[in-house]
Amino acid sequence: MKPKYGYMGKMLFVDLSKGKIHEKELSQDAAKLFIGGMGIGGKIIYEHMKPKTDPLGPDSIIGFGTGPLTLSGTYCASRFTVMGKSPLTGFWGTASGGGTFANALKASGYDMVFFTGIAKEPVYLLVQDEKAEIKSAKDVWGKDTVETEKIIRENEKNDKLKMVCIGPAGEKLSRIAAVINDGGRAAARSGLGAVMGSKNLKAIACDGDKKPEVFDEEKVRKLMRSGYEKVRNNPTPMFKELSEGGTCSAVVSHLATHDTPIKNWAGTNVKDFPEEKWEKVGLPTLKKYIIGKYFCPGCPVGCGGWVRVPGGKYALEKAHKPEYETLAAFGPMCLNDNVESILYANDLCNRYGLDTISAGATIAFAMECYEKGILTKKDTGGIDLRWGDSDALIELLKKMCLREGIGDLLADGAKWAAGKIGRGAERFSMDVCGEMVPMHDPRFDVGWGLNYVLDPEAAKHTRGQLTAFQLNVNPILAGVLDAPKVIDRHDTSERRVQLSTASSAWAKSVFSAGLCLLGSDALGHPLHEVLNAVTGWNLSPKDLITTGIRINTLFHAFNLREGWKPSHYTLPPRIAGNPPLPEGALKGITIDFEKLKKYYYKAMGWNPETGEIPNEKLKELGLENIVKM
Amino acid sequence: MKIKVSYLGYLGSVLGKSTEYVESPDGISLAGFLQILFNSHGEKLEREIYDAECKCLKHGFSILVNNNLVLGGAPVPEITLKKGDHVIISPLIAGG
Repeated sequence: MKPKYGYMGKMLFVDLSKGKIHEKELSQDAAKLFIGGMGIGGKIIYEHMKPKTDPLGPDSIIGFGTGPLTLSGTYCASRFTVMGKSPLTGFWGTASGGGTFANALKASGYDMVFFTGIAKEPVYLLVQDEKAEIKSAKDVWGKDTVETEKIIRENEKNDKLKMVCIGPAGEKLSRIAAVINDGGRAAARSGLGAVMGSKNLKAIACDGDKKPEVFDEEKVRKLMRSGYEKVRNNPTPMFKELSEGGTCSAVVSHLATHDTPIKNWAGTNVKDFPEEKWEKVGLPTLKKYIIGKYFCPGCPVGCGGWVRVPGGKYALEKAHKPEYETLAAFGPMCLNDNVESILYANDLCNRYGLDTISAGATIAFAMECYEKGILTKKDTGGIDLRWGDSDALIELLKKMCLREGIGDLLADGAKWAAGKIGRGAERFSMDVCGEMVPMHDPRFDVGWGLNYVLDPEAAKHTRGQLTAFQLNVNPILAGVLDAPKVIDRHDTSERRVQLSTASSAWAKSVFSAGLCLLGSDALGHPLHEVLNAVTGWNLSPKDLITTGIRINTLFHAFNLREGWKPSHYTLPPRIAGNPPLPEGALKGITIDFEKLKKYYYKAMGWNPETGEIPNEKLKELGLENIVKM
Repeated sequence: MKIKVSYLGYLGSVLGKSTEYVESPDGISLAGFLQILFNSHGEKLEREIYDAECKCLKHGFSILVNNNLVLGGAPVPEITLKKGDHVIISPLIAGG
């Protein structure tokens, strides 16, 4: 039986090898167990994909999912999840994207769509008003993401089509390739753009006017109105900051506290990227280039924006404003304080379809290899790859986008490149299992490190922790957990890990519902009440934590089936403070994350040594018929 | 002694300045220095960042001085300022 409220109740399955499409009903049981896209998609891929499948082979499955809050009238509910086996890590991978695609997919009549097989020639999937069709993408193959969207809309004579697509980087199977929509919104992590590329799948284009039935529309309206009035009359600092400048508002603050990594994680904000440079890569300078802001559908925050660089070698007519992560990765990580070059790098990544975190961090790796003599001018094709050289950075990035010369080596991220370079290069790859570590420093707050090595997905910064407790933006979660008002950033106690475990689980429920993590934090959504009003269920906040633990356990089971061991997810010694930094705010800090892993496995109910999941735990979570250990 | 103060993010817009130098007595505590700032900026700053009841910085803000990071939600700790110090007051967001 399909769920009555909150869902379209249908999923699409596309076999690209056979050119066949079929529909399946979304079951009420799966919806109740996993809420939405991220969790249900995990279940379907776990059940239908054989262990040890090549993520870039024909049997690999990639899914795109919305949640029950999508198109329900809930604010900040325009996120979708892309998911599958990551070609970057070899384990479970997801990426979340905002913008207009989630609403369009659901409005076309489907909650989710899954692809398997490999098309003989480049194709895209067109889904309009409950009809799906595989179409030739020969004329957009090789085009960038902005051109691709434009051409497909023109070809289909439908300017309302919204789509996700890949750029040339995904076509060329870069393991750090992103899935892009709206010309610059990115579901960037896990390298899932390469999975689309491996299937000759250029895009998914959707349009429609369907809407899910909502259990109590008036209640949803009331919850949204009261939540919005609350932040309008008494806005939280997070709401104000995100509205003012988006996540790039945080750059100067994060540099001041040294949350931002510098010089491939070996530098400091005292000597290497000192105070006089902070504003150069932050909002104060960026404001000169911002020409407007935009809102994702149904979002009153509006953290997105447009920039223009009027002239010079990095000229841009109109491009997406970069996020904090992008500014940090192409900025302080590479000792680059030329903000125009960062705007240009961001646009290159959006158009060619690369993850900006991975691309920036990989260039920082290459710069360090060049400094150490591991890479030479001969290797770089003549690029003088010195720290802070913005021209060299852009030249190298262009090569990565096209897999040309040394760019071919680096287009799979630093770990894969280091494996080919040898000569000790792997010491300078700041990754967890291939995924480049995002731009928040575990030496500043242990919570980041917990996310990076404990979550079933390596090196993700959006899996909850700092926001929920330190900023007091989620009093419901804090109340359920009886969390202290202030948490010591360097606390490595078992209690801290328990809190992190629960907040990571909560974040999974947020994503699975189709909600924006930052938007929901900024607005203070009472998630369980909103979900109940939309679906007619009777969830408690504790149920949302349990659901998140169920989703994380399912992802972990996927990893175990692929041969995962605790040693696969380990922070590079440098990021754990080994050796410690010699000066600045993070001076002398070293953290034993191996000890913390045991606390996490215990908190999850897994074997504290091996991470294996006992059958009783599977039963407790209702996973016994899905996961076989 | 002169203390440099930076107001990051939207606080700069609220106050109409992102940096200032503030004259204050030698050996002043951070809590005492905050009172000087509140007196100088009127209600605007105090209402925005400070909870007078618990003598705390509000949740969602931080003050950084000499590598000491003060987060909202707990009473402002005993920190003595000295000549040349730089006090950075910032709203916080995480992620991105």
